[in-house]
Amino acid sequence: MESKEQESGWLERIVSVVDGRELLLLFALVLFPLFLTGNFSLTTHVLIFAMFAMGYYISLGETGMLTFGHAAFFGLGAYGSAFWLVHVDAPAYMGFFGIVTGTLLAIVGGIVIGALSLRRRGTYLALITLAFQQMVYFTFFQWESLTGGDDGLYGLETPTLGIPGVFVLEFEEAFGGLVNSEMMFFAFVFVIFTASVLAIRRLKQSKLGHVFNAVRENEDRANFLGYDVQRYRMIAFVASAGFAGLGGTLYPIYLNFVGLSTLNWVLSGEVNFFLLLGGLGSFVGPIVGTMSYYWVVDEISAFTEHWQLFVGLIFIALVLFLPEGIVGTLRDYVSDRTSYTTQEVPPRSNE
Amino acid sequence: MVSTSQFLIQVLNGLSLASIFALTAMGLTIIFGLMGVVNFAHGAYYGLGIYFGLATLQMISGPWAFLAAMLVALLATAAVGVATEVTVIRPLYDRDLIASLLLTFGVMLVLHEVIRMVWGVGSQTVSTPSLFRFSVGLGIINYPAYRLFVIGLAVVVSVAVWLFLQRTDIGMIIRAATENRDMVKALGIDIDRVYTLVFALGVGIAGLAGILHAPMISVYPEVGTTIVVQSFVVVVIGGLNSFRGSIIAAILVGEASALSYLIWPPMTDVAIFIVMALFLILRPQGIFGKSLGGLE
Repeated sequence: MESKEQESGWLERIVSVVDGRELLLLFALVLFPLFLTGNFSLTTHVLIFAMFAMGYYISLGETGMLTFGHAAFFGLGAYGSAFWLVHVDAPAYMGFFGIVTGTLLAIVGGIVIGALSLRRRGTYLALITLAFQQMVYFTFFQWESLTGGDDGLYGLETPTLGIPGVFVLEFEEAFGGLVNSEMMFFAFVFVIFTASVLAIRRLKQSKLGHVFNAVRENEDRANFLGYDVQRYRMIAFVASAGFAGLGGTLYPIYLNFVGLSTLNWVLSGEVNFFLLLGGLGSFVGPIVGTMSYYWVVDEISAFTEHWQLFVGLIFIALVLFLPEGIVGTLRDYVSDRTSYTTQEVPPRSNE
Repeated sequence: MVSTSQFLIQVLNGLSLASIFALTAMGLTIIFGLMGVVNFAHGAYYGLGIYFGLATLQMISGPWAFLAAMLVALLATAAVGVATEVTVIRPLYDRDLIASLLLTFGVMLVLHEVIRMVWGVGSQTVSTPSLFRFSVGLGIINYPAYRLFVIGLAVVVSVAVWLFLQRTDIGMIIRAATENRDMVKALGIDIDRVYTLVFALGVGIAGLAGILHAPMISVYPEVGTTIVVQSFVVVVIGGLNSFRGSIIAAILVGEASALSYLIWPPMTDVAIFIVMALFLILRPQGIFGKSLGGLE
């Protein structure tokens, strides 16, 4: 023990500094790839998916509900945002109501799918959410007049934000070319991301968050303590859907396009991967996981077109050898006495 | 108005679809029932079966080529299953649910990429085997012989697997292991080999289902992603560890998909999920939901 502490002294110091300052670490992480690559567009992309992962974290990380259908909410958010831009004939400055529309659509989706799916637990919950996601997928695939079907909706105009005559926020060059449109949009996404992370952290630390954890640890015990477990699972599920959807609403604005890939169930698998890669027991896990995933994909796809083979192999290796993810493993290495252990991994279903 | 013959044809189409679902869901059921592993890669094995069969059909021709393709699909997919089970699934048995879901998802990604690397990304078609390129007169309708063959074969395979589990010594060991793995182990039985066999059997049947389904669909490397979700719907309705339940659910879901075509064609993809939603409202525990241990 003694020698281990000495060996990892520096690491332990860093972790102890960061511990309790997770938010600091989080923003350092978000900004790190930006400084590394200077690529605002890529970083925005990663931020959007990190928001999706943060939303899913409420379900899996906080409440222990494993789903395979969370892309449905990301996709509903994305399509909701795009619907406003395409189908609603409103002044350009109203374009950002797409964010509200998309988030609301995801919340409604969360209520409907949650009400049906949460009747079951464990494996069944994962399979049922997956099935409902496919239902949304096929509905949007068939409903061509609304969604563009297989082609998706493209050529979406980037909206402007503001009150006419007072101020207008447009994503274009400013300050004599010092700030370009990509930077402006990054800043906008970053603000929404920060607000969401703060909100989710607040939720996590509130009484509600503690009930979520109680449900995750032992449903029966939470039930005996007088909590209506089913109600809290529903609240967590809908909140999770809402934040995932909020992340989704930014995606069509970023891409000027929305397609069925946002509703693909493989994306639901990927978001599980983001959380697992980062570490399930940790608040910064989803962000670490999302960043690492896109970094790895970026590196691998630079030298082979068969990058999915490597992603799959990493996936397998991670489950077998690093079940606590990057953050969990790092913490375990630093200290044996840590609250982030396998016990926080959702318990196996007894269904 | 829908005529009687149209209706009958859709009923039979529903049964042929149900046959495919029954075969894929059977594999999921026996793998989950014994090993506690939810196999997300099941659709990828179904896809592998198609491509193994396709490769066979490109090498040999003649009236019996398709039967050879079926055999190759079954055995080669089962062989890949053995390799997967021994290398990556075996270390999982004492781990939690999330581990098996995520690991098999990773296996799926790998298998899809392997299919793309070996056979290319494009879509292909598998023509109806020449042996079955005729129609059978059934009273007021003529129905393709191939689809009747698929229905018949699914019945034969289901009965054979059921007899294997119920009447043979290995089947008895498998059923005993679902009840108490440690006890079976303590009796000196090499349980690891039984697990490998079950996984190989389950995914082998998925591979067979793949090549059987291939002449009815368009084939592409990720072709299994649709069928695996549909099979999950079947096992959610039927019960993940109920052999009978999954067969009844397969028929329900197959018919729902086929008959909804008569009402409104765009609904066929969504119909099976509506059936699932109805089940969740009316009978959330599934058809045979009461018994939650061991294979029936």
